[in-house]
Amino acid sequence: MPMNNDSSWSHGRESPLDRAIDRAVREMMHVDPPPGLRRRVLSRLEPPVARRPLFLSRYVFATAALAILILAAMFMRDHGGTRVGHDTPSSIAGSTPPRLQPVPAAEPHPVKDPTVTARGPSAPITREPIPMPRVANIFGPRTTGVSAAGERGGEAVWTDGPAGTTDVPPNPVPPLVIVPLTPAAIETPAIVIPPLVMAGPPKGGL
Amino acid sequence: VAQSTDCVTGTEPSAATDLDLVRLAQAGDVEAFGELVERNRRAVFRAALACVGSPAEADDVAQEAFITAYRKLGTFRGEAQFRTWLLSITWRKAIDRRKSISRWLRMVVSPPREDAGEDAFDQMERIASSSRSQEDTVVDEELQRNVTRLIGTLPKKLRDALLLAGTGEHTYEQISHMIGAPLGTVKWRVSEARRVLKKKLSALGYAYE
Repeated sequence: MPMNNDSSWSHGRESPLDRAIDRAVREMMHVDPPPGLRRRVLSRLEPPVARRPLFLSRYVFATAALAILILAAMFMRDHGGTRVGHDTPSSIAGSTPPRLQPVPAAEPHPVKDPTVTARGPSAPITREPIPMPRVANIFGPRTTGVSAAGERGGEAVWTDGPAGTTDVPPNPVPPLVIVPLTPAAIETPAIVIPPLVMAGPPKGGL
Repeated sequence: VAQSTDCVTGTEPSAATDLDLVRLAQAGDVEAFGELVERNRRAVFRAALACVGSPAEADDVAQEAFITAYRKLGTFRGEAQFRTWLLSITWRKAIDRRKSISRWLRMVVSPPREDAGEDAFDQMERIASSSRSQEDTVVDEELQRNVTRLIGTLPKKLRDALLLAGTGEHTYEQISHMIGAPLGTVKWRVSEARRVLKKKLSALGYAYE
């Protein structure tokens, strides 16, 4: 019996050692599987019909989880994240869940300062642009030159700047007065040491 | 594409090819897959045996290979023969099993044996001795035992190629696909394994020619 379907197994060499190798390999490998392999394999097979719902259920579960996440994100974005009281976890766990009270209709109260916006749960979020107060440009227009401010008579001197601009001069800075330091003697209170008084031996003896 | 392998495995002839049975099994016909198991059980078992060396381990590997093949049956496109595809799965399973056996042997065997290349091939030696036919008794039994022992000491790549080629169940093309080596490499490994064996036998005093 040939060792392989390919006729080049022994390469036409038939020395005693080649024959010994052929025989040893054949005896090692020509072992039949134990009987009942088919039965044992089939008993361990899962019916393919039962696998399909599991296969589909994975996708259904993943899709449902993704949909829940998207809905939760949309809900959180629309409601702006309702604030939760700063209760400790133990108090939260020990208390009954708060019953949501219906929010009374919010009374329209005028906003005095346009820069201040109400941040309560009942305040609706508006996307209107917040008007900013006008601030005068105290630095002047942007120039490429270096401007140096000098002091002459308490007024600033602008060395560079385009003509015809209406700049607001900065507030005059009062001159800096440096008071010279004067050394002062450190006065310490006199230490009075009372004279020692000879006392008798202790009562308990030495 | 796929051809029936009845002539190889010796099972009863069937009109359906392997590919036909695969299609039926993919449609849920478990009995069709059972027929595939029957047709390929010997090739799968011997491939596993060539790798792990123990019939008991090879039986476990064969079962795992068939079950894995059944689970992955949907990925089989019929581009290669079913047996080739199945043997590739078997070989991967067998390699994993051999690694775990080697780890276990390294863990329990202390100090390491001098012939560290052996694993379950001592058991093979007993099988070879017990299943010797009357015709084979012409050959010196001591020589046979030495050959079997020396096969166990071969490098794994050479030993795998030699034993797979000696199963009588696998072509060189199937072995090449199974172990992921070019066809020429497989043939060289078989030839090299034989050369090394003969060299070692010559060192033991046996005549080379």
